[in-house]
Amino acid sequence: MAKILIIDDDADIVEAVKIVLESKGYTIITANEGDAGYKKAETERPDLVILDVMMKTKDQGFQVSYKLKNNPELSKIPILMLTSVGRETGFRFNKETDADYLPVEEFIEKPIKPKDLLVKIEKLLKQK
Amino acid sequence: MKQTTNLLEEELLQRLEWFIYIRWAAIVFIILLFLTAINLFKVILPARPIFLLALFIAIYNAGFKLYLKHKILSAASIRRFSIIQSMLDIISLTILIHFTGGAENPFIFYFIFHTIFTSMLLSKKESYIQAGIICFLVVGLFMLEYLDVVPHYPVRGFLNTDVYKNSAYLTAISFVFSSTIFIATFFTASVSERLRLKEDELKEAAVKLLEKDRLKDEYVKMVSHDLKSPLASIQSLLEVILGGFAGVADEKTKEILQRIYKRTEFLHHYTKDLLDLSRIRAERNLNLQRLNIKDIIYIAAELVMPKMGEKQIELKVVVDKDVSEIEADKELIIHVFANIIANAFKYTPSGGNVIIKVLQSDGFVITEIKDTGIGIPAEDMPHMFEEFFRAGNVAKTTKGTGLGLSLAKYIIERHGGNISIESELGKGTIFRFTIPISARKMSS
Repeated sequence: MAKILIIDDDADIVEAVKIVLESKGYTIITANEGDAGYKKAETERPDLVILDVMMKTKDQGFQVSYKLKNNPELSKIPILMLTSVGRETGFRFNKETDADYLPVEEFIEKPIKPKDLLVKIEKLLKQK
Repeated sequence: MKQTTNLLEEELLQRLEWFIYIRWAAIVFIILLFLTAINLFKVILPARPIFLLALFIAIYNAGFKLYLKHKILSAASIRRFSIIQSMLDIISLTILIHFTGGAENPFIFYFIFHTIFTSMLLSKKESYIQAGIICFLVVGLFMLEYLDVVPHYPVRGFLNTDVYKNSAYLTAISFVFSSTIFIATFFTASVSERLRLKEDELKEAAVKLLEKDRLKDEYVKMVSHDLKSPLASIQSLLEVILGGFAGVADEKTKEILQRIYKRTEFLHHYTKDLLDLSRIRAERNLNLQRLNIKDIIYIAAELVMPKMGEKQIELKVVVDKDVSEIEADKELIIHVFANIIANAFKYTPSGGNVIIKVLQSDGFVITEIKDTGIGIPAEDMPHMFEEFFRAGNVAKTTKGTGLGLSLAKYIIERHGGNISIESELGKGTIFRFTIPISARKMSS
């Protein structure tokens, strides 16, 4: 079963995502901050990364996504970005227009709807 | 937008223009007075110097006019310019007095008008210096004529006694003249200084208000963000329980959790609206791009539809074929459409319909969103675009923040359009709004 890395500084969001994904049999690893998350990606080689935007800094999630995609060994890992901050940071999350700027495969809005989450994860893993 | 200098400078500029008009009038006045004096009163006056002087004034006045027209003046140059004008006027008037009788000429008191007008524009110090120069020139002229250093041009036929040689008269007139000039300067300068101080205070207050408003928006933005994050976590966890991922909850627990979820959902929307409002208001520039209005309507409708639940409402979209693309802020315009469509759906009972019609006229795209909903009470109509206002017939029964329409109005007006409502209680509501084809043209 696929291994999924959750990077988010909100322990409750991590817990919610973890419960939902574990119920479907996924193996979950977590990190509560971007740099630690990147290191875990390097060592654990997950099949998918769920990544929050606002952590230590307002856009740490973006920085992590750039780093992941620029590392040839990790660039194939699909990223699902958690966004509750789209509007207030002024970053736009339109897949068609923002693809150049944000190297992530999919977005999901907080609060997280379990069904939505599962559908998106299955789709990303299948595409891989 | 035109870069405005401060109030005082604008007024100064306006006054300078005034002075140019007054000067043209003065030239006509000098010539008419001269003609009247020599023809009607048979007074003898030296024609050539007076006409030459009128010509001199006309030349520098035309120069000023051109200068004002072609140069964008800085605050300092406006000031310098007004001093130069004033000095030239004083000198011209002194020369005119010299050629028309000197101390015999009652028109010396016209210097008082000059003093009053210019003291309003100059600083207190400059006004007093000006008063000193006027007195120096006029009294000096009297003395020079008295001492025969310069010739005296008597006004024969008007005053036949040679008062310019009468030292007692000269002393008296010099004293009255000088004191009048200084007193006029004193009053005008102190009044205008008070006005200037008041203006400075007002300006300072306006700057402070703007800063306070910005701080308020910042504060609202921060607070709503801080409220939104924990809410998203609460809702995510509730979703997990309600979805049965954390084990099976009994029916009663589920029902209570659902209630909690609904309340948090309202809070979520409320903070989101607050955040949108403060963010959009704090944003200085529109992110303009070319938009197809039909696409915008579909995107907005897609955003709204999933939230409508089981309600059966027919949505019809009619876009006139002549409607061209608009240049506007995509995110904001979607926001407006989504908001008004959501309102139409929310307040229209199942089985009703919502019709969106778009047409183009006079450089504007006009959108009409018509529903067959519950309508708005007449007494609430004037308040519908006020922040936090909710109509009396829905305030208790339907959840809402009262921010959506005020934000929609703000966005439409930012683009240079306008928005209005028409409604009949129990029958339905029509929202009409216009968006200019190019918001760029509107703002320039």
